[in-house]
Amino acid sequence: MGTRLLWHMRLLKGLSSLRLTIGLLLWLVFMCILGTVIPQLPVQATADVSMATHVAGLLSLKDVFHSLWFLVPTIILGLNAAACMYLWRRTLERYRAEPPLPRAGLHEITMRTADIPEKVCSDFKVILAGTHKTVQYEDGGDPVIMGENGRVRVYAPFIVHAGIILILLGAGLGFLGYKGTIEIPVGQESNTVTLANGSIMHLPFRIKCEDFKIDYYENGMPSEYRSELTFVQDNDLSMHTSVLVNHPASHGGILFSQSGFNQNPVAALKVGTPSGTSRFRAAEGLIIRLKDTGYNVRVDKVAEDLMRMGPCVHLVIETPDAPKELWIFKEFNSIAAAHPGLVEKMPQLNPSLVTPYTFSLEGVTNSYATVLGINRDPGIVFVGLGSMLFLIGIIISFMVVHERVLITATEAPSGLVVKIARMKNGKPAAPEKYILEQEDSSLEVRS
Amino acid sequence: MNTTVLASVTFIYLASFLVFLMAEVSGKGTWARSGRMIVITGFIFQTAGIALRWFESHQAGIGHAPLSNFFESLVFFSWAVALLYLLYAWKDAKGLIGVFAMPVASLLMAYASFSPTIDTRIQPLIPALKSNWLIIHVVTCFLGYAAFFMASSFGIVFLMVKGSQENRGSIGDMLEKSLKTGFILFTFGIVTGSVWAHYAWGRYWGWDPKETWALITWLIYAAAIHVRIRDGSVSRRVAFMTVFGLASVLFTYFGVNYLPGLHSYQ
Repeated sequence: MGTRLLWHMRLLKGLSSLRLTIGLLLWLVFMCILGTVIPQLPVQATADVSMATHVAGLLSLKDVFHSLWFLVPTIILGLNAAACMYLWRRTLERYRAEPPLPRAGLHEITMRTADIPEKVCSDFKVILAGTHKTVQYEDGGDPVIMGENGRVRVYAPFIVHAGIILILLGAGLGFLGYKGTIEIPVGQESNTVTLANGSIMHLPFRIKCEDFKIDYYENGMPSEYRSELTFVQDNDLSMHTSVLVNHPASHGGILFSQSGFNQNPVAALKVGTPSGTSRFRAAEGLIIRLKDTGYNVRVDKVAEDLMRMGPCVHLVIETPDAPKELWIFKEFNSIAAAHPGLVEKMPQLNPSLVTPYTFSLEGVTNSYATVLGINRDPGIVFVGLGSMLFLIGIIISFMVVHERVLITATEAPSGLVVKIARMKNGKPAAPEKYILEQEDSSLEVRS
Repeated sequence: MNTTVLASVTFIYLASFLVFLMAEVSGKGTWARSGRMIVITGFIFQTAGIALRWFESHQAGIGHAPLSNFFESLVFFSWAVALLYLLYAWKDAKGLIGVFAMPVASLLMAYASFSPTIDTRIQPLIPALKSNWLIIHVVTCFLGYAAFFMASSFGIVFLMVKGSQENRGSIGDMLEKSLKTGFILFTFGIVTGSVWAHYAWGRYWGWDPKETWALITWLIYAAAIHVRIRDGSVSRRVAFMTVFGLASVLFTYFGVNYLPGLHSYQ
């Protein structure tokens, strides 16, 4: 049993050592530097990879902050803080309510007075009570007066380390959550989230983007992005909310923030064919199959204003001979009138280049899609609480001075000997003048 | 108008540096006292310049605290260095700390005011910066930077001063005070930044280069504080670590702008 206890204490002492703390902190500095110097890969999906690949990923420096090189020292740092807190109980014993007078650092005053020690101590208690919280007790038969200030500082290391442990615990719990983005075109619904590791997940409810707006300053800079959202649960509208940058919304324990937006210009195309006229609404990348011939038309580019000539669409038409490019301007007639012979010089501007079709552009409209950040983090409460505790702890630790003044009096042949000890943050300090000068005419001070 | 007032501060702080240099060379207290008076004059001008810029921002219909772009951050950093110099080195440090602190305050102002690459215009805020957390986050971070800078200045002096621990006593005390103040302020800055990031970007931490380097700086000074506890008082090792930490502070502020990230100044 004794050996077990010894082993237990040795492990705790080793874990709580300051040398280990300093070493771990500097190791984490090194890893963080590597994390900004070595290009980091995005988090990889782990569901479909082999165990060997997974372990290799954990050892890789291309994702330092999720590697064992970073996570293991961080866990040891948490254990280091926990061990400090455990052993801190012993330190508390030094600060128990009725401490003995220290052997070193005493100031002795010999008083030529007829008063008994209890009377002198009682007088000092009155003096100290003006500035300190005082208690009176006996030590070896002699009366002792203790004045104390800033006792809360004794608990500061506990508060600081508890804060660190809560932060690390919260960060660890964060791994059980998920982060990602969801893109929803205006007027549409979605529940498909692209996670940070590239995989797809579906939310248990749907989100409809009712509207997306961008406000601008007079100089053209964007001043606000705003998404109007409706959360749809089981075909019922459960909540309507606005999401702006700095004003996220929460639903079902998930935080939705305004992460960005995508702008998709859509062309309203008219195609005249032998069998009639067809109309299409086409965004970039769309492929249209033409009636009569079966040609494929790829919408390569849609522009609201191309080279100050107005709305334009660039089409690539797959014909049996070769692909043909067409630039269709909404204002083709006025452009052609202003530049006689244009179509002959630049046939790709001819709307009837590919027979038997005539293309025309009726207009270009912008279609927005909002991009929302998704974050479900079950550890955030712990991180918040831990941060507050840590801040409170360091403020107490650095700003509050724990002061104790111990005074005792004993009778001696030369007179009444008063012994005074003052400790600041556990270290001996000189007694304040106002205590030494209480009976200045009758004192002989010796430190 | 505000830029003219702020540019003049460059030369006032430069003058104080030269006077502090004279104080060290001559060993006369009169020079050191004059130097401190010049610093106070510069500090008053700088505070007035910042207030004027804030006022002009309101006049222009923009109306935000002057803490939102690189120019404004440089000015505030310089202001914070001067403030902490006045708070910590007023009585005890004589001219020596001024020799380290004031050229830096002057250089920051010179870079802000005269570099052709820095836009001194008052610009409206981008959506991400439109938050009440901006002021508290930036103020605490930059006061923290300045306190760490002061700690490293005291650290350099501590390493330079020959003799026993007692000779270094007051420098060591000031180093410890500024180290602790910087640590509290910088921790507060990181925490407020995390809260802000939670609202603005939907997560409190994202390993953005600025966040990572802020953590690096925090870890270095946390290590320095633990070395101080282990050694029982401010030692040469603590002093060395504060100087080492300054390199991290400078990279966190300047170097990270060259890395892609959400915090890069535009």
